[in-house]
Amino acid sequence: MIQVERLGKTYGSLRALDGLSLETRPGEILGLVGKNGAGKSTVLKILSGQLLPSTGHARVDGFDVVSEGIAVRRRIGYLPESPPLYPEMSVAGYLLFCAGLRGLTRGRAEARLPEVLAMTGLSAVTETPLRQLSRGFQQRVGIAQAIVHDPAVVLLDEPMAGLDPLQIVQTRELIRGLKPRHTVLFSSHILGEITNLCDRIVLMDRGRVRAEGSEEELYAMRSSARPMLLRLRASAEDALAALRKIRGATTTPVPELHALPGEVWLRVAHREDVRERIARACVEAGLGLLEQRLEGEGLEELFVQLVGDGAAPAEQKAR
Amino acid sequence: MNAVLLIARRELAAYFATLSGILILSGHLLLTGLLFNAYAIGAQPKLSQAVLEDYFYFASGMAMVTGVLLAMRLIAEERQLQTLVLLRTAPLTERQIVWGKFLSALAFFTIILAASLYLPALIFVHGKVSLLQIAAGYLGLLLLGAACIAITLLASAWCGTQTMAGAVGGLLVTLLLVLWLAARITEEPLKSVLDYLALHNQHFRPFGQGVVNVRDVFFYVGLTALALEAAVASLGAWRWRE
Repeated sequence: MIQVERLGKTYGSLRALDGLSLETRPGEILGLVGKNGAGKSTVLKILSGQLLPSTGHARVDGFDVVSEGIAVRRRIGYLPESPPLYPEMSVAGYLLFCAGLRGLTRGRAEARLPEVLAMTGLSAVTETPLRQLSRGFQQRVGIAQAIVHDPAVVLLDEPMAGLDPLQIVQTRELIRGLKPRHTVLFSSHILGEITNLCDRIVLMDRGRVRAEGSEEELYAMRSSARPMLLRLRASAEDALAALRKIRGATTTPVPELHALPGEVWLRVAHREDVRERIARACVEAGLGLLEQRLEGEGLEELFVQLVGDGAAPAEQKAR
Repeated sequence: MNAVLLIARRELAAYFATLSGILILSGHLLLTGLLFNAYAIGAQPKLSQAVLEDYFYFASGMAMVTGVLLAMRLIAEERQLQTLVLLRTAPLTERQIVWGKFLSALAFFTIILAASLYLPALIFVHGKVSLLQIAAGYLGLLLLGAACIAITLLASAWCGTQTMAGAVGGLLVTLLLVLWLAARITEEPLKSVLDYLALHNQHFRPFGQGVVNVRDVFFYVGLTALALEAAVASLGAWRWRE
């Protein structure tokens, strides 16, 4: 649906995109993730026809974004980081205006409107002036204008920026709901926001793709097995004595994690999957196994490992 | 064409929905009315034709100021509010955007002019009035206003804020206005060129006297079209510049 080949963009001496290539499949949700300045917004601006690339090509639904810009813009819906709203307009009036701009007749726009309002949870505020809406509702209107003409591709630039946690959850559900009908490409610099949302994630840094794949595939790319954290109801001595016998694992206390009285935190470094052995050892020794999890399960840690402080590791791809 | 009208309709509604539009409308009518009573009618008895000529002379000044005030927000405000992205990511050409904006301001300006028609109608109370002189005068005001709107629309396409657009648009209009003064201190053939390019002097005065010259109409229409095309090119250039 979207093909980007060796895309480059320079602003004076600043190289915002450096030969970036990526592709999306129809109906897929693809997340562009990277630090501020990684080039995420630049990709979306080029795909939406706001910017011209310095080098390379980008196509949407087979149409070139430079030479066939009008055809491309007919097939996309775009939400910039700040929703483009006219404060004096009502929600319905604004969405009908946006539909008209994208080529829908008045009749088709009016027929489509109730569906879009229902999808975005705006049915109760159709006549409310946009200036009176909360930030979360304004963001919903922003998403509604991007899908009001039923485009094949929806581009969302930081759609969850500035929202409170509840609004982030609601927006994530809204984006997930677009999936059967639209191909969604969106950007975020907060990895936690996109957990369990994307079919694939592209990690960007300095205008290049550093890694791409599903969440699971990206986890699998980590250079070493993650240590395991255990919370046990036992003394440190008893726990260490019981777990020392496990083959392929090295157990140490974790003083930085504060344990409740009668409990202990342990870190288990391992070269293979030792979860069953740990559970068995705990049962045999009469230790209370309260918690067992891999350390550093957040995507943020994965991002730091893959992108680090900006040094350029080899590009990684999981397919 | 539908997109042009759609943009024009939204912008026209915005003039009525915002304080600035209402202030421009009421300010224009108030000042034009004061100028009409203080100078056009004046204290001395005059022929109706002279009253009308004076009225259109003062009204032309108001038309230029109003044209600048109406147009300065057209694109620069969208840039300030970050709504220009909506138009630029829609399947529209820059020309459709510019013409939609221009037509909205021109429509609002026409409404303002229509609301001021009662002033020359007052002359009916005390004397005879040539309807053709009124028609010619208002055609002149419309063409002059359209040119000022187009010039300021160009400035609005250049600038990041509407205040800056108003300043640049006002400066351009003023420069074109005072070209006739520059013509007085230059020699031929530059003198004729500057005289011809002057926005008001030789091109507007005949309208106020009830005379419609094709060359004057052509001048204003040509200047308007030129400024609008320049605005189209400027808007398109942002894709490269940003």
